[in-house]
Parts: sequence; structure tokens; C-alpha cells
Amino acid sequence: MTPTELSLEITDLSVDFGVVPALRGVSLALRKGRIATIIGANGAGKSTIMKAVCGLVKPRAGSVSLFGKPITGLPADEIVVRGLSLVPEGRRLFGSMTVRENLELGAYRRKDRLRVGEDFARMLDYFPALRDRLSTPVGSLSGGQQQMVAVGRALMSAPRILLLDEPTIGLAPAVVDDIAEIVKAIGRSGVDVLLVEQNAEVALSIADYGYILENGGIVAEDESAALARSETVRRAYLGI
Amino acid sequence: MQTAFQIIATGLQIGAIYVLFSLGLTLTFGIMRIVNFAHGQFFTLSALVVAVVMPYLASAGLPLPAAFAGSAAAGIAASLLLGLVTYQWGFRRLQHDFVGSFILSLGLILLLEGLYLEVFGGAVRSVPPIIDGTVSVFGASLTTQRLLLCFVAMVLTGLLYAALALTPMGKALRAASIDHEAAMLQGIPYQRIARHGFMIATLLAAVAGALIAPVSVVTTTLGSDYLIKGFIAVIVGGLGSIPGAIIGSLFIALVESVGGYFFDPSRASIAIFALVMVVLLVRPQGLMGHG
Repeated sequence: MTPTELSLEITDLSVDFGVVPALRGVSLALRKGRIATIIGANGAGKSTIMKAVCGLVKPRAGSVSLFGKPITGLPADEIVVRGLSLVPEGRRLFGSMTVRENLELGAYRRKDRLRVGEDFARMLDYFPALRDRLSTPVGSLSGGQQQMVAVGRALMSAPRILLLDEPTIGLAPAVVDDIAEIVKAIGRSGVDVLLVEQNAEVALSIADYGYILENGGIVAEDESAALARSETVRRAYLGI
Repeated sequence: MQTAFQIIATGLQIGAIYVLFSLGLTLTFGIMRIVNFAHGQFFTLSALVVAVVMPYLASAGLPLPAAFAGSAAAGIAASLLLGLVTYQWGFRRLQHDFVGSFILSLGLILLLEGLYLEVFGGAVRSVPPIIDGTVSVFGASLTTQRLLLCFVAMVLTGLLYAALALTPMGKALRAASIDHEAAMLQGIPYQRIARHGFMIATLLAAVAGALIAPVSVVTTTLGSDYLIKGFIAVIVGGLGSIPGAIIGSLFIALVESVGGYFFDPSRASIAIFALVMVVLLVRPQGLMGHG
């Protein structure tokens, strides 16, 4: 595989929280046109990978590159401009602001105002439930609708790579299916997706391939179908 | 009835200045999660410069309103410069560091009050009135000058409110004060936004200082009084809340004017502290605070 086929490449990434290592030399790659997932238990370091990639956490060692260009150490707001956007764990919406304001803030750095308008309309096509709630403060929406706003907000920056951190956590099963469909649709629309999930079943049904993260290190990597068949994955993450 | 109007009108006049002052405190807290206790020193510097420059300009033959405008511009510029220096070399490094910023701002109070005393001297200064005359509103008599200052303060508050609600920059400021990391994930340049927010806060203090100079005696410690009142106003209203700062300021000002009328100013101060305790016991996050 040539490096140009990789949209995001993480090499030997190590992050410490104080003296406690959170990530120990994690390497993984997001291939163009694919959806990848990182599966792991609580505290395995999944969110830390996301934060380090997005610039919210400074890695101790290792590098992150976007389309072949290093972004390690850049502030988070500069990484967004380079085409990578994160839907953070717990959504982290601006609760007292309206749905419209939240979505518009996602496009804060974009200069192509015409396209922003088109994308805004596209978000309402993706999430018709938000159509009537545009002037509502997001804090008063249901969990599922909030997750839609969070995904929509991230997409409003017109990213080429979308990172999703636990997008289905705490949602009703029907809503989880909705979110799964939306993530697949985003992948088909030409955005490369890296999905972090505790729910391995959902994650493997969405992603083309996946990584298994344990204690801050990658222990396995394969196509989703193969991971879903693997005995260890079935026992540890699928509960079968 | 006439007395009631008089008390309310007096309260609103004082309150307008408190609002400008406390808006700056709450804005800084919202964005940087620090309380800048040296906020009053920005206010003082502006008032001191007006008190020094205005008589000078007036004696040079300028009409009083022009002399005030010129000296206010000088005072505001001086405060902004001071704000920028303290931000670049100090507060910028102490965002979200409550203890560090507390120590820095206390140090700045001592340093700046000492410097002001050296430079401006300890004499009590007064500024000649800009406009003479009184206006009667619903039987309450107000000096034209105070009415004008009150009007300017209200216009500025309105402008700030509108800017925060409607402009992209204002929305970015609000977003950053709700969750600065989430704001950065939207591409909002937090460092730049924090500096803008700090400088807007400084500007509000500087304008308040320039406005208070003609209606108050100007001393090098003028800001300390306002800091306490402004801080109480912000706590009552809810730290970080813009409507809270406005409501808190008007509340403090009304208690002061009612208490000052029926009792005396020192009892009014006691009443403020007592009422603050009641508010905080009932609603520890402040009237408009989130928790």
C-alpha cells in the first residue's frame, strides 16, 4: 500500500497522563474511501487516540499525519481547517445555544459561504428530525437528536476525515440503528471515517476493518468480517 | 411616588456603571475561567488619565465636551495598552488556572496601585462637569451629565449584548465560554478569542472609568470599591453569565440607593452583603448561573 492511499496515519503514538502511560506506541491507518473502527474496553485508550489526533492532548512520542503531512502538535483549531473533524465523546454541544447556532459554529472557519448554505440544507436532509427544532437550545433535545446535532456540527466543517467517539453510547436501540445508517452514508459520501466504539457489534457492522485496543496498545487488526469471526473478539467484545 | 422614582433613577445611574464593570469580569471568567481581580485597576487608570488630561485640554481652550472626549480617548487607550501588556505577559499563560491568576491579579493590584500613586500622586482629583443642568423625569431630578453617562453605558451594554447574540465572533465567544475544547474542535481559534474577550473586558472597564471620572472624586484606589461591588454583582448574577451580570449590578445599585436613602451608605453596604448571603444560600450558582 502506498502512503498516498492513507488519509490518516498514526505512527508509534504514545501519550502519558502524568506518569501513567495511556497509549504505548499505537500505530494505525485510515485508508481512503474506507470506514475503520477501534474497538476496546473502557479505559483502553480509545478516546485518548482521538484527542491526540485532534490536538486536544499532546503526545509524548510518535506522529500523526493527514494526507501525508504531519499535524502532530498543531492546535485543535488548525487541524479542523486541514480537513479532520471529531464528534467528541459525550457530544460536547453548546447546550444553551440553538441547533442552528451549533451547526453554524461547525462551519466557523469556512470561507465558502455558498457551500456552507448547501451543507446546512444537506444536514437537514440527513437529520429531518432537526428541521423543526432549529431555534431550540440543544440542551433540551433528546439524546438521539443531540447526537444528530453533534454529527451535523462536525460535518459542517466539510471534513475529509470524520472521527466519531462513541456516537451510540446511551442511545435507544432504534436510534443506534439510525446513527449506524448515517455513519455508513457519510462514508459513502466520500468522507473517510474512523469510529471508536465500545459496542463492538455495531462498530463491526458499520466499519470495513478494525483495530482492537487493549491497555493502550493495538493487539489485533483485520477486516471487520474476520474480526467478527475471531474467537477472542467474540468472547471479549461480542459476548458470545 | 416622586421619592420612589428618585431612588430608582439614582439606582439606575449607579447601576449602569456597575453593569459595564461587571460585564468585563463575567466575560473574562466565562472565556478564561479566571477572575481578574485587577480589573478595577484598568478602570482606575482610565479615570486617572481623564482627571489629569481633561483640565489640561480645557485650559488649552477646548470646549468641555471636546476636552472630555479627548481625555476619555487617552484614558481608554492607556487602559487598553495596560490590558494588552498584562494579558500577553501574564493572563494568557494562566487560562483555566484559578490559583495562578488569583495570585497574579492580587500582585497586579499592589503593583499598579503603587505605580499610580508614584505617577499621579495621592491628591484627590475632581473633573469639571461636562454639562450643567438637571432634567426632571417623572418628578425625579437628575443631572444631565449623569443621565448622559447612564445613556452611554446602556448603549454600550446593548451593543455588547447584540454582538454576542448575533455576530459570528460573539457566537464563537459564547461557544468558547461554554466549552473551550469543543469550540476549538469547530475550528474556533481559542487563543485569539480569549485575547479578544479579555480586551473587550478591558475596554468596558476603561469606558466605565472614563465615564465615572466627571461624577466622582478620582483617587488611585477608585477601582477597589468598584471591584468589590462588581464582583458581588457577578456572584449574585452567576459567574460567567451576561444577563446575570446586568441583573446583579442593578440589584446591588438599587439596594445601595434604597439603603442610602432610608439609612446611610454604610448600612446599605451591610445590606448588600446580607442579601448576597441570602441569595447564595438559596441559589449557590447565582441567579442566572448554570451550576
